[in-house]
Amino acid sequence: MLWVTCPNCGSRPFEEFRYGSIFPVTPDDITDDDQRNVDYAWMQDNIEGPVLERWFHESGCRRWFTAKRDTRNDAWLDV
Amino acid sequence: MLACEVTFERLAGWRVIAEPSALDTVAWAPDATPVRISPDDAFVIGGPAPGLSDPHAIVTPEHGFVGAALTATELDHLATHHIEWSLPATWPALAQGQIAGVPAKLVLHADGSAQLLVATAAHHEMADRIGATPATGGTR
Amino acid sequence: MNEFVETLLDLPWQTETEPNHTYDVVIIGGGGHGLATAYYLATRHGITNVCVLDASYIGSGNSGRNTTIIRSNYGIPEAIAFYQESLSMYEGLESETGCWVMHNTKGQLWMAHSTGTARTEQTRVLMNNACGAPSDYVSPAEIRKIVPQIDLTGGGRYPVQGASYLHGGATARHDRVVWAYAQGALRAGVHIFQNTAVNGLVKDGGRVTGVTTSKGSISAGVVLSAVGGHVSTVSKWADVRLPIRTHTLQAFVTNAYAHEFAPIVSSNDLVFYVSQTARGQMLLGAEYDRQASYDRGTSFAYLQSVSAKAVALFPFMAKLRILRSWAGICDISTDFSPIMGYTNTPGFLLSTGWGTWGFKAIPAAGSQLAKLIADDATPDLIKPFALSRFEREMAMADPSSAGTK
Repeated sequence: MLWVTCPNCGSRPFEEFRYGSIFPVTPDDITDDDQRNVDYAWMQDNIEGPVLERWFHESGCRRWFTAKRDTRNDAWLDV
Repeated sequence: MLACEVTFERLAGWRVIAEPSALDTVAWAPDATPVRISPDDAFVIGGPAPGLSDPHAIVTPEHGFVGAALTATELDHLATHHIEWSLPATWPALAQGQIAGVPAKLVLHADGSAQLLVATAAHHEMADRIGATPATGGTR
Repeated sequence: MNEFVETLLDLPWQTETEPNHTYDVVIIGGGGHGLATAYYLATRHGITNVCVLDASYIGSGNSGRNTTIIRSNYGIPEAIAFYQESLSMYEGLESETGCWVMHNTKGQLWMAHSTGTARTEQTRVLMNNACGAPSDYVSPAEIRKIVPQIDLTGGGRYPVQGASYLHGGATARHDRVVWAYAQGALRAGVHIFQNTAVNGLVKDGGRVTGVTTSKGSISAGVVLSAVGGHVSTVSKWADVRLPIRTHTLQAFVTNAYAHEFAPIVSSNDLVFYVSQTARGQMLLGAEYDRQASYDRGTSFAYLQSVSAKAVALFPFMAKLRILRSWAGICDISTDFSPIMGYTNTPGFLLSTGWGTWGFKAIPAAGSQLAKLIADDATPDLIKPFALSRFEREMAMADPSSAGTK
């Protein structure tokens, strides 16, 4: 069961939050503008490991924040 | 004790959105109770409209909350039966999160008592779930 | 494995304990999709020099974790045609393979609780009938005839406005489907190696020419990734970027309900689905977890929210008990449609993007990919689902048909 750490309120159960998204990153080695657009619109890094992402503490301070989570085991990491 | 037999009362105050530094340094009125929801957001219960050093601060009357005073025993009952997360270790403090599945805030006093704050629109649901009495009337 | 598999299937395991040095086709992933592709390669195209590798036991991934629903009521013509082909193939799977996969045509109700969603379901019926998937829009009174247990007021909160009804909606025992394909493939001469993890691809210039495994390197004419969950990792080895995000999808079963619960019932507005297993248990699922994750953990909050939805529509379920819950990790494509066929890396093929809709597609995807490999040309049925559709600006966007969003 996932617990999310809000920087204002502390550790709370997952259902208090709304999930934003992982920060999308288009790789630098894609140089063609059209290809970069395709990549930005559709492609995902889908990282197995630590990711930076946005969460919203809907039931608490109602603020968006950036968090770091390991997608392999949903462990919460220090940003 | 099976229920948290408290009574909610409507609260009047001010909602203040401002730079965190301005909120950090504001001199609150003696009869006002500031509740710091987030670094840039405070709900001030009672008192006159606060003055802030931030020229872009938003100060607006806030009638959206009800509150209930809890004794240490009542708070303990609430924490045992209706709160999934841990209360802060050091008091006074503010704790925010779901209580009985409803978004709520706890203003924790140094003496062990507390004030439970709930959005007016959700407090009937909260009262129903914890066995409290909803607020009557309105301030507007 | 369950009792049926052990007593009713006769798996003629190959005598080889080590893979050959080279195969015409190496398939990564011994789930339904990988095994079906191997089966059709061998039985329909005479390509038997095929090897299927699985890091664990066959069917240990999403093929053994899904809610066994077979339906074709999608929202775009290309998808309806594809899934209807699969639904038809499932109907003939027992006679084709000689294995009892417990296929059961039940019909599927997809309910609407608002006027807007009722229109969505009416549109779905028109579209499905036009594309060969016989459906009807049914009224609340007709819904009650199909499933008498329903509370049409939805517990006073979610009144049922109507539903689309797919006559051919069915279920089949998921691990028996996996083992039916495995048995057929093995009999035809395909090699299957369990507990053999692929840990890299062999490349020659820009071409993928094989795989490296925990049992050494294997050369391959082509490599097909039929991996569920970790496909982005495999694709990265081939320098292929995918429009896929991996999410956890949970499901659970209750103890046995002693009466018949005839159809598969889904709710479009509430997002949950329920059917009855052959053992009488109620099998429930709902939306996939919002955060991208490779973790197979389940949560109490999920059981709670799905139970609340189910009990609102089917009050009898309040008396049932949850027996067990589990989760799979699903490759959700960004346009909510599968991805099949060639990539920009020669020698490397994909069957992925199966998200929360993969089980129903196993026969069609397997047979079409086998045809693609045998003919070295993409069959018309799966042409719209090529990975290149994204750069061609021809995404197959169909999120409202997933039933899990």
